[in-house]
Amino acid sequence: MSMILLMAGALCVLTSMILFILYLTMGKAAGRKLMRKLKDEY
Amino acid sequence: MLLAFFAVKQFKRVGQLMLKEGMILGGTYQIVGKIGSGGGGVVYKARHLRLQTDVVVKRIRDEVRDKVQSRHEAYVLKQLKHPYLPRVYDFIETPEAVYTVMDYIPGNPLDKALAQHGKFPQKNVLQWAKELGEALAYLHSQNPPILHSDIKPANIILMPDGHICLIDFNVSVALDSNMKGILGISGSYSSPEQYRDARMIQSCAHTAEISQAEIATDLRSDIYSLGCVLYHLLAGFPPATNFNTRMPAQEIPGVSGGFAIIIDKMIEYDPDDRYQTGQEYLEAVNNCYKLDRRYILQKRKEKTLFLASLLLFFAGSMLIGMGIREGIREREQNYQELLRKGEKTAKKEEYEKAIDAMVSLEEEYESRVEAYERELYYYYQAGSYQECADRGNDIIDAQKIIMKNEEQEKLVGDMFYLIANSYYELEDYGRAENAMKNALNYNQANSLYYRDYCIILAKQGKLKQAEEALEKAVRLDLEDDSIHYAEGELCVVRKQFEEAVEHFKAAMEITEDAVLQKRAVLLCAAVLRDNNRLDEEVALLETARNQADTQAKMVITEYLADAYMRQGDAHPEQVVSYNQKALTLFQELMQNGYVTYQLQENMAILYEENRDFESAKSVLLKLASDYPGNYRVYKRLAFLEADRQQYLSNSQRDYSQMKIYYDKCRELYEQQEEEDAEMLMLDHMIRDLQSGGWL
Repeated sequence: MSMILLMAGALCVLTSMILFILYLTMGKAAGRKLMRKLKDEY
Repeated sequence: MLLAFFAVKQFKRVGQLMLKEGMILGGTYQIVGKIGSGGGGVVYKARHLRLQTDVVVKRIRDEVRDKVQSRHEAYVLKQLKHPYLPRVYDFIETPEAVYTVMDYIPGNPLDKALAQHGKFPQKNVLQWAKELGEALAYLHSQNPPILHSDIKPANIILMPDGHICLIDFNVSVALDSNMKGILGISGSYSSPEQYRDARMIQSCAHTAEISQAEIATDLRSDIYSLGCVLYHLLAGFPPATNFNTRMPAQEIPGVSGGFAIIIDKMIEYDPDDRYQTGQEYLEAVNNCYKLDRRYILQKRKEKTLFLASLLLFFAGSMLIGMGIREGIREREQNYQELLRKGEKTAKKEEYEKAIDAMVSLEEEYESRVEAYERELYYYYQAGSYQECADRGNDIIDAQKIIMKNEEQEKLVGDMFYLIANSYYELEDYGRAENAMKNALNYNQANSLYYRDYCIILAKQGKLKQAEEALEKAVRLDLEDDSIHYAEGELCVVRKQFEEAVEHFKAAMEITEDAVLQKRAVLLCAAVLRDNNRLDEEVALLETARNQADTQAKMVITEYLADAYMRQGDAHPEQVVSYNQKALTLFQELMQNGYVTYQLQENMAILYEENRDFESAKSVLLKLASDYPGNYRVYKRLAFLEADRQQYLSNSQRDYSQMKIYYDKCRELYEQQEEEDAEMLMLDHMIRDLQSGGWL
């Protein structure tokens, strides 16, 4: 049981890290790029 | 509230006193010519004679001319300074009228630009929208706030540098704080509430009949008008006055979503639905990209990713935490389970297995004290006192145990207690005392520690200390059986043997503790033996043997066999019978795996006394293989051989085997320092045999 919980926990943390990297790349970085584009447009 | 209205067209015509070209107004401003005229009056271009700059001169309405010199509002108007607003320089009072002098703004009004271009691209309009927003925010932020009220393309000048200026500052309106009779409307740009107020004023014969509270026009009307101007600049036509058929700004081609949303909000029918001040509008237009659908979607995506990662991180952390906790619980459960298994094995008196199980546990959980304590306990229970003491000392010296709580400290105390009791059983009372002191360092609340400490001290003759220890044990609620047992021991030291026997018997009678029972029996038997009360001793041991558990039974049986042997010595006529009884008990012990050196030696002696030389020799040869370095085995073999030869005729006697045993015995005897009287006898015997020619 403890191994299952530990593995599930590790999987969650790993996924959260991947999502955080996505947040930084597809989120923050892309957001900044879009903001520059929109500022130019407006 | 100071209200600055620009160009109120279709309302209350002001006096038509005209200024002529070349006239000098106030000794400073020379009229150059008429620029235009409207509801607000005629506007002239003039020349500042000293500064040689162009200015605009405009007549103030007669109703407020008296207020120019006295009102705070006039001062505020002169203080206005903004890049997108004309400056009010002066108020000139003549007998006929009062004039205001303002900046002359070069450029084209936006109505003319619209007529020329039709509409403008969003990029230009957005820049002007921000500049107008700044001008409006500046007016609305004054104390009191200044309302423009007539924002329209004609009142916005597009300057040669590309910037705009909000003009037509109708100072007459600004100076009339109750603003009655001054409201007007400008086609498609006036707000619905301006229309309503205008109709109300028009329908009243005297403006004095209208209270200021009834006027609905406020700062939000400026927002509406500016929204209409922006709409017109983008679409090429103003928004329809009918709100039901009006095309939303979002449908104007080439207009981005964010900007269109702002414009639609500015031209809402209900003032409460619009931006409430110029500052609020400026903030929105400066960040209009934030209202864009793409920006909103991107932000939503960012937020979702961030929240999902955060949520998963916390969930993962929680799961890991739970996993660690569960792991600790499982490990603890496993540990306790293995301890219980060991306990069950020990209950079956399979101590070796139980000890092996504990050793395995110790390898896996080397800092846990429980398995170590149980291991020592099983050694003690098995009667392996030397192993118990040695292993206990090794464990303590290894310093692997980590005590996390008071219970574990007590278990370490128990380990020392077991070591002390093992030394006690081995009759090494000095070490037993030291170990017991250590036990008491870890746990001073255990009455049994003090009881056994008392007995160990008593065994060493430290009577006073022993009595003190017993007192402490009694104060800690020592049970009656233990008190009797300890008192018995003290009586032995005091040589009060009768009382000692009484105490031991009392302890035997009431105790349910098997170890205490065994000890009391053995001590009582020892007292009876030392006082030559052999029959009582045998009777006591026979009774106790029938009641004891397996482990205690072994020791008691050994004691009983020894007592039978002494009975045989005491009653030579019944020696064979007693020896046989003793032999039977020894054989029983051997069958049960209770094999000690002393037991086997006694058996050999008994066989010898019964003239069963072969059995005696067989037992001694087995001993010799078990204890190859022990000279006593060969000494006994030598005596046995000598005894056996006596029952042979002279011609059959052969002492060569005896000599072999003697030589071996001598060799081993010389390797140690013990003095043995029997060795002297054996030496004499060999010399006699040699002198007699037998060897």
